Parts: sequence; C-alpha cells; structure tokens
Amino acid sequence: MAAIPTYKGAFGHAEAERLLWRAGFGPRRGQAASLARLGLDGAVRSLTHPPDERWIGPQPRDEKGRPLAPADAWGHDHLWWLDRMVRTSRPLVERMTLVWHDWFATSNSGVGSQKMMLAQNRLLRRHALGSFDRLLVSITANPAMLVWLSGTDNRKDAPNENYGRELMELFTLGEGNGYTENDVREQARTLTGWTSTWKRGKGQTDFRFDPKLHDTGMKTVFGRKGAFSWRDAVRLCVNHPQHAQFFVEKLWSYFVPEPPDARTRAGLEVLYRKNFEVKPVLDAVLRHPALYTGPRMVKPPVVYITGLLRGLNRGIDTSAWVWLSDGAGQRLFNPPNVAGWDDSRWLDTSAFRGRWNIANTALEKVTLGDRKGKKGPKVPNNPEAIVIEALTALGNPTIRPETHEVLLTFARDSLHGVTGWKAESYPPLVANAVRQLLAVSPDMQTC
Amino acid sequence: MTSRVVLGLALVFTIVPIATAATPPTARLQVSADEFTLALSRSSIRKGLAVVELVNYGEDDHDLALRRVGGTMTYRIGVVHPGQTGSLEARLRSGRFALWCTLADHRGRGMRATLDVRSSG
Amino acid sequence: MACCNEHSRSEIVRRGLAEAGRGLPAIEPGMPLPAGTGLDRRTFVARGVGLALAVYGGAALRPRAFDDGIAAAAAASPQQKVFVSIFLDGGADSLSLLAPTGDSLYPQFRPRLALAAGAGPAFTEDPRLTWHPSLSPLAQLHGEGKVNVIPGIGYDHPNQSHFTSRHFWEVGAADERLATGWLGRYLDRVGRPDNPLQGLSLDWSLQPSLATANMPVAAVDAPDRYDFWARGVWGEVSNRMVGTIAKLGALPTNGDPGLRAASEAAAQSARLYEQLAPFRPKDDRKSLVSPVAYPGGDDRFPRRLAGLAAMLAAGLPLRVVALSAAGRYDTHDNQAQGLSDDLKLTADSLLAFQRDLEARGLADRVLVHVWTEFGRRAKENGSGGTDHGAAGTGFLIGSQVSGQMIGEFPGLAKLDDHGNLRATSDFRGLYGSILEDWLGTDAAAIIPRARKFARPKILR
Repeated sequence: MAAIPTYKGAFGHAEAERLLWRAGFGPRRGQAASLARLGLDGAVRSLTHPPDERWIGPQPRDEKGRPLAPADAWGHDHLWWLDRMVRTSRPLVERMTLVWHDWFATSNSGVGSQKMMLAQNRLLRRHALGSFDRLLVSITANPAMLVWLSGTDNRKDAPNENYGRELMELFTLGEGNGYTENDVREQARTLTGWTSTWKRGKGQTDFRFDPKLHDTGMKTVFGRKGAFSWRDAVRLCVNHPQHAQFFVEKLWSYFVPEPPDARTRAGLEVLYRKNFEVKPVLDAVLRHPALYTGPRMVKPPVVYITGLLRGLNRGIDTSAWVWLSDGAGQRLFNPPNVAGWDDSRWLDTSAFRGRWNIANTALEKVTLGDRKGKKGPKVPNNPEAIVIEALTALGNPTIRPETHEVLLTFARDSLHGVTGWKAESYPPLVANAVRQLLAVSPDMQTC
Repeated sequence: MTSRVVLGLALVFTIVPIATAATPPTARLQVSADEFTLALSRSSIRKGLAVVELVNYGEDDHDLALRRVGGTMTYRIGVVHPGQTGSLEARLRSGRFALWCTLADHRGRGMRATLDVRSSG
Repeated sequence: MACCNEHSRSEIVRRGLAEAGRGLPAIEPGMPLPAGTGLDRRTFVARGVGLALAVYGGAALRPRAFDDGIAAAAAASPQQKVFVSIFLDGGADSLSLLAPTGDSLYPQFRPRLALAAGAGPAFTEDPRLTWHPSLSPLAQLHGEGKVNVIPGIGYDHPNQSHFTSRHFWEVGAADERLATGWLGRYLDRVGRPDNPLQGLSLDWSLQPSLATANMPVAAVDAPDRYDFWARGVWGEVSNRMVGTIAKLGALPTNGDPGLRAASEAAAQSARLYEQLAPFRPKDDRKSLVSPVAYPGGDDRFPRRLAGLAAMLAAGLPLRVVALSAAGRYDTHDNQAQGLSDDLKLTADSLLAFQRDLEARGLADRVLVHVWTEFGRRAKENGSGGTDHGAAGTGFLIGSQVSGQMIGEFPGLAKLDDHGNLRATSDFRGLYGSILEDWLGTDAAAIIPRARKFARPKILR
C-alpha cells in the first residue's frame, strides 16, 4: 500500500499528544513523552495492538462512595463507560467502541433498558478493531438494535422499513448512494424473521430469528435476485461497490477533520476491501500525515471530560458527570437520533457554559486557597509561576504561545499593585482562575 | 527559583486517598415503565438497604408501589413524567414483593411484576 | 446528587445546571429597577428602547457590553418585531380550553369532564363555545381584540405520538428527518453571525424550533442565570477572569476550523454574558423589576416572561424566542383539577406579560403564539382523563393581531376515523402568515411546500 502516505516528520511530544487525543482520551501524566519515545510506528502499534486490559487508578464510585450499578441505576451506565475511558490500558479499543456507538447510534430512550444497552456496548467493544462485516451481522441481530430500529416489528405480512433503510443510508452506503426506494422495501423483506417474547416483569426478552416468520420469497436487491436471508441483506451491503468508499470516508472523519485526498482514499479502500478488517485501515489513518499536520478537531464532550480527569489524575467519584456531560451535549447511550451526534455542532453558548461547568467540577478537588479547616499551600505572588503551575496541574497540555500570553496577562493584571490583604489572598484566586481559563481555552477544547 | 515554586505548588495535587465506604452494600434495582409494562433490571435482590428507581420510558405518567406478599407496608415512588426518573430508598425484608403502577387502570393493563428479595447470596 | 424520593431526572439536571451557575436568585415581580443604573422605575419605563440601551451603556455596564454585533443589531432595527413561541407540552385538550357547551354531543362524549355553559366567559365569536374559567384572562384580552383564537389547528394524517407531532410543529413540516427548526431556518436566512440573542430559548436547553444550521442562537434558563462562576475565584479577579474568555475567543485561529469553532463559542458566550449583564443580580440586589405583578410561586414560566419583557425593554436584539408554558397537558387521568391549575397559571402569566409590554410601550412589537402538539380525543376515557387526539387549539396574542378567529370549531358531529377533531386550519399555513406578515420574510424559503397551505389573516 505504498500509495497511502505516511507521516515522515518528527514524532515528538506534540504529535504523541495529538495521537493520544484522537485515538483515545488524551494523555495521562507523562504519557505523551513516553509514547513519543516509541516513534510513530511503535506508538501506533501500541494502540492497535494493546496489552491485556487493566485498569489504572481508583475504582469508580458515586458521590456516596457506592460502587456503580450500570444496569440498575440511572446514569450509572454513563459513569461506567466514562470510567473505562479514564482508566483503560486500551484507549483505542475504547475510542473505537465510542465510534461504533455513534455509527450505529442506538438510544436508550427508545430501547428502555440499560441492560440491553450495556449488552450492545459489549458487542461493539468486542468488534472494536475487528471486522466490519462481522460487526454488522452482530449488530443486526442485537436486541437493543432490534428494538431501536423496529427489527422485531418487521413482519412478512407488514414489513417495517426502519432497519433496512438505515442499514444502507447510515451504516453502509450513505443517503441515496447506490440504492433505490425499491431496494429499501426489498431489504425490509429480507430482514424479516426476528422476534422476541414478552414476559411480565422482564419486558421484551428471548430475541431470536424464527425461520417461520421470515419472508422466504424472491427479492431483488441492488439488481440481484435471490431468496435472500437476513445475513445476505448485510453481505449485499458490505459487498456493494459504493460501500468501501463510504466506510473509509466515514471512519476517517472520526480521526481527521478534512476529507482524505483521492490517492489516500483509494489506498484505504483497497486495504479495506481485502477482508473488511478495520485495523489495517485504522493503522493507515493513524500514521497519515493529515492527522499530524492538518487542522484541529473539537473534542467531543465525553473525550473532553475524561481527558481532563486523566490529566488531573482523578477517577470517577461523582454522578455529577451525568448531567454535566448532558449539559455539554453528550449523554452516552442516548445519542440524539439514529444518525448519532453531530460532530460539527458540539459548541454553542449553552454547550460552552456546559464545558465551563465541566472544567470547574474537574478542578474542584484541587481548588487553592481557603479550604475548610485546612490551610492550603502558599501561592506566590508570581504570575509566571502561577501559569506554569496551572499547566502542570492539568497534565502539561501543549498550548499556543498566544494563549499562554493571554493567561499571563490576566495573572499580571490581576496581581498588579495589589497590597495589604489582597497581596495574601489574591494569588490563590488568580491561580484557580488561570486553571479554569486554561481548561476552557480553545487549545484545550480541541486536539 | 521558578522551578522551586512550581515544585512547592505541585504538592497540592497529591491525590488524597479515597476512604472506602464502610457501609454495607446497597442493592439496586431499576424498573422501566412503558405502556403498559414494568420491566425489572433483575428479578431478585439481596435483603437490606435497597435503592429502587422507576424510569418512565413511556408517553404517559406512571408511578410505582411495592409491597411484600403478606406484608402491610407499601413503599411508593410518586408520579414520574415521561422521560424522567423517580427513586426510593428502603430497607427491604426477604420475601416476594409485588410491584405495580397505581395510576388509573394501568395495573390491570399489565403494569405489574414480582421481585424476590433474598435473605443471602 | 442526592438520591431523594421522587426526584425526577430533569429536575436533577435542571438543579445541577442551576447550581453550577451558582443558583442565582430569579427575577421576581416587585424588585427595584433597574439595579445599578441609578434610574428609577419611572424613568426606565418612560424611555424608549434605543435610549434604554444608551442609559444602560452609560451607567451600569462596561463599554464593551455594547460591542459591534449587538450595537449594530440593535441600532439597525430598534423596532424589530419579536415573535414569541409558547408551547403547551403534552397535548392540551381543545374541548376544555374552549368547551363546546352548545354542541349537543358534548355531554355524551364528556359525561364526567364536560364544563357547564356558564362555567366560564362566553366566547363571543362562536355561541357554541365557552372559555375555560382558568382562561378568563385570555377572554379579557380577546374582548380587547388582542387574541386570535385558533380552535381547530393541526395537519392531515395526524400523528398521535407526542414526540413525532411536536417535532412536526417544531420543524414546520410533517417530516421526521428535518433537523432544523422553522424559526432556526428563519434566522439562518435573516440573522447575524454575531448576535446569539436573535434566537433565544428560555430554557436550560435549546427549544428545537430554534435549531439553526449556521447562525448562533442562545439558550438561557433565565436571563439572570447565564453566569460563569469558578470555585475559589471571586470579586474583581472573577470579573477579570470572565473578561478573559472573550480574549481567548479573539485569538487568531490561522484558518484552523476546529480552533475557530472553539474560539467562536468562547467569543459568543462572552458576548451573551455581556448582553445579559443588566439581568444579573449585583451586590445581593435583585436586578429586575416589572411594572406589573406576575403570578408568584416557584414556576419559572411567569419569571421567564417577566425577564423577557425586561430584556426587550433594555433594547436587547431579540428576534424569536421560544419557551414552554407552565404545567403539563398530557391529561390521561384526573384531568379536571390539574388542567385547571396549569391553565390558570399560564393564562395569568400571559395577561401579565401583555400588560407589562403595554406599560413599557413595547406591545406593538411583540406577537405571542401559544401552541400544543395535538388536541385530545373527543370522548373521555375511563380514568377521568382524555387520550391523544388530533386537531388542537392555539392562540395568537398581541396588540397587533386581528382579534378574529382563525379557522372554526370543527364540531363534534364530524370526527375523524379515530374519534378526533378534524383540523380546520393548518399550522404550516399559520407559520406562513407569521413569517410573511409579522417577520417580513418569504415563507416559501422557510416552510417546505409553503404555497400549498392557505395563509390566514392574523394582523389588524
């Protein structure tokens, strides 16, 4: 695949940092430096071939010190996944699980069972770096998806087109890209046969394919005729000539904000077509120059939250993250609709305030100054030191010199000529404010 | 000089070890309400302190009552609007509990379930 | 987050968001006005919109509050017409809002819920109908020619899901996939890229009808609550900190779209914060007062309307505003009492808002539309309530409305196949009139297939 360019520049701290943000949830303290030492190939390989899963940091809990109950308590599903993002030793696996959650966006608002959503989440994680072909077969048969997109309501005497349409429009081909309304109807017939049983106290359960409920007649899909099965419905899509381009461009868009050039795209398509494996494509994207030299991306809210916590060395210890995340526009397991979150619209005046609140809460354990019965350390009346300390506190993120200068000017102006009691009490206020401003700066909202 | 200052400040960020909660584990149960079903996140829980939640996934209001079969005490979660959640915390004795929605004719239309509260395990 | 009995999820979310902003005291009627400006109420009320802006600029606010965007927007159109969309959430019952006491089928369909003929004010435009007693304030405004009653509004092939039908109303089309709101598309066409207040959602999240493709819009729970607070920061350091947000947002982005998006969000938020400065309490003093009394209590609806009137009086460049009314209207059971309380609070607040605008000399600039996603089934159910129906009732309120009924009461003899009222006017036609006659824009550019829907006369 010599056709796909590879990044040839220096792979230093900044590049490692960007890679950790795009392919994970940002660096833990010191992690960017240690990743940089591996060089580009080694760094990418450490993500695509991660070690066994282990958890780094304290066990998650709610604000009462109780363990999480992801299937049994409101919001704990969200906290449970945030904790994985914060503590995982396999960030790319977790990030790809988030990509698939967005790609096959299923909302608990329509499923009505955290347990089923968590089962789907396990499915997505199992296939995170695997084969898209197998992922698509599995998700088609997934109970949460069968409920969400009416798979169990799709009967041969009354076909429901919901899943058949999204399978092509959102999952494999793109709207109107190589299929007709007739294909939608025929795919709906092809996908008939799924059913479940309703049990008192359990709701929908025992999801299964019942051949008796399947429309065994001849169907015509993409101009091909056959007595297709539901697995054929999936295979027809994956083997559709337009699919590889759709897949490659969509996957790319999660990691690089500008579309790939024609040569890159063609190269990625060739890689993907071999056997629909995700990992080789991902490997090429993560080594591509566009990832390191191209423009920045706005961090999704959950990436922003978990990245702050990783930088601060803090675990999940409050369920405030559920509403804080919601307030910034991203509640896990509840995407806004079947098309997932809109990555171009993460920020508005309300979401910015949401992120301000996130930063404020992330920093709450390290607030300087008057603390009940505890005297914090003395903060020197020294603007330069205060800004450098704020960077240290947040895990040493790379910021623009201009941003550094704005923070420094703020600290200088705030401390300029203060005397008397202010000389004593203002430095910690300024230090707290600098950290807050740094955390919401455009530099830290993007990666 | 600057670096010494930074070092001094960095001490602030030593993470305070989190005290492990000494309280006995709390059982948790989520009940999903829809028209007209109640679905439990598990069919049995341990006796003792329990947090029970009612999540309304439907389009109408619902509430929840719990009573141990043979018991006299009825635990309640008041009306929960669509898309919202209510909860109660109670110390439950072992036995079989009936759960139902008390609004209108919802119970008769299917909004009822049973829960086993185990004495051990 | 304390896990208390019966706390709803959205209450928790709202409380959390409010606390994050320090839970500032809300606007209440009777507060001294306008705090910090040195003006008494009389002066304030007497001043015109443009002057009020200058007064605020000269006294209470730092000069940068009137940065180019706001000043330009306000100066370009100081008499900008304002449209306010108020949503009755849950599907309000048409046959209670205006009870067909003169329809012989009414007592048969509503053996328990039917209102008596003299229960409320008579509706003067149709002798068959009686106002719900809780809507007496609207009957009063109707008597003054300030209300257009829309007694049977909906659309063909009505959908009886709250979410779907509400979505149709919000996007201005029977299209489940349309993602921008009808008011959002209006702003995309006429709005400015530097004025988030042009589309204001008085809610903790954006009202979907305001969702734009490009233009900035704002969501504030209440105008006095859009604050940036940080732990361990106060006083002049806090003020300077918030001022620094704008500086971070103004840094060059060198053509990087990601950085630009983040910078614009910071800059717009800083701008909105300045725009709302007059409404933040200062030195523990309440910052707003209304020239009339609004209903008291905990409900946010009257406070939001009071805040809205004050924002308009301060000359803030609002164009379209959306919020939800007091109460919930999904009355499947025990309808009589709950509906009566919710309607009363809503109607009392609407009357206070109209009187407030009149007292401030703003009434000719504001048009209020009250809507609901559908009406309810003609026959009551077995639980003392009613189930989801089709055509609903709406109102247009303002000093400029024609005061004439739009469409007509469809009658109980000609229900649709599901036993629901048939629509005699279409919400898309009404939107067309609002866009063309009030907001002065081409409806065809906003509402899909706009020409298909007859446009009612709505103004004098």
